[in-house]
Amino acid sequence: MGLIINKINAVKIKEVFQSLKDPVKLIVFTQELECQYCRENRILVEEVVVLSPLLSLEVYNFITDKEKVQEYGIEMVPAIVVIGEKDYGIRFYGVPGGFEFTSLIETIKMVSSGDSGLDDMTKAELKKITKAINIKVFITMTCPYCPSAVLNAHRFALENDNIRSCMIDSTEFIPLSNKYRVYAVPKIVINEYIQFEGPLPEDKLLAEILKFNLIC
Amino acid sequence: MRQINFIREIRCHSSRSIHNMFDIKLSDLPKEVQKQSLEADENKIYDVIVIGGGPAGMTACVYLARKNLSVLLIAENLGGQVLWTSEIQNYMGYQYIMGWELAQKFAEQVNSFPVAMRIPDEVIAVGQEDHIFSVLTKFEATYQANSLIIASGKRPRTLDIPGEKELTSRGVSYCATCDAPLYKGKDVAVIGGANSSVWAALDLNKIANKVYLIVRSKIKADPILIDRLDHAEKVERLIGYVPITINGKDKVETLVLKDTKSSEEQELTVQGVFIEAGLIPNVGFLREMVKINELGEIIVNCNCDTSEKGIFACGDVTNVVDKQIIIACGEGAKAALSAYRYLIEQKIDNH
Repeated sequence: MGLIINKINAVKIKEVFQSLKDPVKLIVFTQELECQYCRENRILVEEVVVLSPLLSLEVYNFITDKEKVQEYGIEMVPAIVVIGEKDYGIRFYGVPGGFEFTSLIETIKMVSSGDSGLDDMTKAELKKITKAINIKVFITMTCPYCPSAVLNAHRFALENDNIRSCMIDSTEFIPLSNKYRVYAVPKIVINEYIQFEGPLPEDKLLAEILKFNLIC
Repeated sequence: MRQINFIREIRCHSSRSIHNMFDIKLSDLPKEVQKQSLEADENKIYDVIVIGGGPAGMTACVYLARKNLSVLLIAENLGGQVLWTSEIQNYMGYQYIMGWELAQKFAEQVNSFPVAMRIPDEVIAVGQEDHIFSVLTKFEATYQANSLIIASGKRPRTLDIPGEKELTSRGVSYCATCDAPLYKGKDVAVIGGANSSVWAALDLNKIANKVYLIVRSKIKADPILIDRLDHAEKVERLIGYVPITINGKDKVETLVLKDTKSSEEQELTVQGVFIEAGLIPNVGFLREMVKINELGEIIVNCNCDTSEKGIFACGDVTNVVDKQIIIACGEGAKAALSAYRYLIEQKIDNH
């Protein structure tokens, strides 16, 4: 049994990972000192990558590996970057535990397949995005409604290189949560300007992003 | 649940505590080979639209899909109230299962059938013309069907006091499970005296600095929960009080209470107000299309027929007395079979 993933879940995840198509690299940014959950985050990802031969892990130090921090645009730790054929701009800030573990597994599956699973019309509309879009999804690990918001944001990031998405554990990054006034989750922030609580269906999230692309 | 106050144990590298802390939940991880759910289509007339994704609605979907009917499920999520139910010991086949796990198993089963889904969304209006029902959703989508199954369950009762609406998601919360971790070290109030309120107070006791439990008359929670409450050091019970105003500019700052006997008012400085004042049937979107009882529940007969032909109802939204997961599932199955018979009688066949 792993420290975080028990045997039953490991068997289940292994089965789910049977459907992985192409390799996925998980890059963990850590900082063993003065980072409350960096160690736990690394352990979690280590326990995930052993469940499929198509998964690999790289670990970098947020303080000493400056080049990598810059290359991947990492803003804080703990962080996970999910890389498939390329870096789609998908990030997890904070440990994806609790309900968010599902987001991590589903994201790995999506990146491996290279298919966001979005509607064809949504995909076509997303191709029109020419401006840099950054979607932040603030969550708590105990929120059952949060994974769908996180996954939608990651799906959008997969479709267009101008879109970046990140899950942010609100309880881990309290100053940031205070800055964005996170009092309820999921809270979605698009490029600082558009903010709302609660998950949106695919077409409505698309409309918000297209609105931004048009006006800014 | 993540136990934030267990950090010291984790630093001791206890495998048990680290496992509990990140308590991973493999929710809604459908087996890939079986997943058959479809995109919702606004141009199609479905055989049945199922409104609500709790146990009743999900069971109805499975039964309808097995009858080869075209089905659209519109719901805020898959699971409904089960998602925030902690332990379940009375669902046959499982001696003990967590609510989210049972919801996940239901979701996997629905996903294995060709059911179209519109999630997350919520029906806000229903209309009918020439035997065709149309529904409008919160996110402005319109769908049509030959029949409807209402399985919209219940939603949190609001207090309808000044400041509540304005400060929702600004410190006023109806989901302690979701939002409690955001109130670490803060002073909060929980409104209500039933099981859900006590659960919320117990969860917050581990996180917040101070928890006021505001109860109008008497704590009606199960004795086992009251016993746990007796050991919750941060919880102060204020019994015989009702909330009358929530104050705050951009976020909750104070909560004003009134003593039910003396009418004296008291202002508490709090950053969060968790409202657990019970649940009410989610029927507002029907606008008197079907008959409801004095509790606001849809009146159904033993076949889940409502007063309106072609509209069926099941689960906690109906007047069926006992609100249990297993009963909701059974009622969902009955509603689906009644809808099937109705469609045959109407000789409507969209295939």
